[in-house]
Amino acid sequence: MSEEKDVIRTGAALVRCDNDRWLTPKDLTAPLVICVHGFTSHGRYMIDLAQYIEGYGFIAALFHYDSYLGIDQASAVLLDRLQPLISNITHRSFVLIGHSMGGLVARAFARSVQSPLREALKGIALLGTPNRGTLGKKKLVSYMLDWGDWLTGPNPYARSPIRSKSAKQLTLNDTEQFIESLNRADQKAPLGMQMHLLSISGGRAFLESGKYSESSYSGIFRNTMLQRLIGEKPNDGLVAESSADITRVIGKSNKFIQHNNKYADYPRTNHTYLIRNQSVANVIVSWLQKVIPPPQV
Amino acid sequence: MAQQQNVLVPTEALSTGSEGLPSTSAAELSAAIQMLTQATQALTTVATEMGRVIQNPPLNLPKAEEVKPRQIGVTVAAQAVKIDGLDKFFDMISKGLGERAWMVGEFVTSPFLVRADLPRVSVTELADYLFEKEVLCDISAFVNTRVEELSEIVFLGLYPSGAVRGITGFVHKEGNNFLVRLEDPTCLLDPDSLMLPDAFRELTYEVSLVGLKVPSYV
Repeated sequence: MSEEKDVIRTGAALVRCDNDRWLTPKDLTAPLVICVHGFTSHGRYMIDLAQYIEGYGFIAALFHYDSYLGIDQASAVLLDRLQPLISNITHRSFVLIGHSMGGLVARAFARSVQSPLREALKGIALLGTPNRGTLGKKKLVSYMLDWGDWLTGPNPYARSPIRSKSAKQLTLNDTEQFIESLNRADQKAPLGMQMHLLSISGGRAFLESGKYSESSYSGIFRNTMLQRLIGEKPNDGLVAESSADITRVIGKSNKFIQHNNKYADYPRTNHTYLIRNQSVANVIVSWLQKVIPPPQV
Repeated sequence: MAQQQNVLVPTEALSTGSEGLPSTSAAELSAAIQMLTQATQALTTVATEMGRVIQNPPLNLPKAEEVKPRQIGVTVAAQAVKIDGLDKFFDMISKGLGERAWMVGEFVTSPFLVRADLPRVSVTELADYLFEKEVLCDISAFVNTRVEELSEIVFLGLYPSGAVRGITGFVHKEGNNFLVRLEDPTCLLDPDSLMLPDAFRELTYEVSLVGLKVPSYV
């Protein structure tokens, strides 16, 4: 990523995963899968998953966006970037895959999107999404930001008390109570009645945030603090199972609304590796093939 | 032989100055002497400690046995000091920022080193000590900002290893002083440090900070 491609400077972009070019109608030759990254991250960190999905006959796109401007803002920007593509998308349908906060962006998008895109949206996959926020603990957001800085490069603006609307939303400290409202709406009228919802969690309660996280004083100390802040197990090092499991959050589990923590690598998969683990990718591909069957590869 | 003559024999050594007093058993006298000796040692220790404290007032140096879990709302005092070798600082932070080195052009404070002494304890004990604490530091010497702009300031941190991270900090003014409150004391630990968990020693935690103003387009 050069300065010219830095989302802080360029603003959000919806790009094709195989060439990082802005998505155009010409690209939409199969059902579309849009990968939505998490807080302080960047779309390119989902590229392994996106390219794997493309190998199964889907068109995969990455949504790069300024993650600290708000969950609602991100979903509105995603809708804006899809506007020129509406006729092509509705012809073939699409799915959103959100990692961490990206899952909340996807859920907010599904709640706000209007016809005909609404009917074309067939499903949402949530990977390690904090569907219950971060339990109001401000420090947990600091740790999320540390993790994001380590993963994608330092972004001090995400820590601004006045600019980072997402931090307030994720810690449930926003006056609009955005996440609670989203959960109440989904409990009342689940999206799963019209589309599929899949949540996937990780079971390794350790998060990397530096070079030697697993063996150094600093890494072990940070994780000791993090585990105390999360306060329950299992968790993926950042998000508790009870928050990642959408069926527990909205209180429903059926053929449309499912949670998966039974994949082979669950015990070794933490928040970071949910988007880099082939066992998880296989769960997603299998789900996609049911939700939006692609043309035969 | 002469030396032997000068050596106190046990009977002389046991002379306690109690001769002539009402009869006291040797065991009682011995116990009393032991108590006096211990009291003298304790007073000496206190005096030495007081002298050390007067010479080097501690920033925050609780002993391991004083560490209590969950001291909610308590701050950890830290010092902000001038950085020697600003060229090296700018080289290192530019390198650490990588593709975001353009942020160097956005700095609005002088860089400064935040340093805090933390107790020499295990990982678990340090977590007990720091849990739900914040770091408070006077940075008046490095900030020249209008009060209404303080909420616009965010921080980058450069660690000894060269790692660069955003630092969650809030600046406010108290009297004539600018204070920064670092929300998460974990920020004092170098995330890329190689220090092993069982190799901790008397630790001084430090991170170099510099403030940026959030640009209007963000």
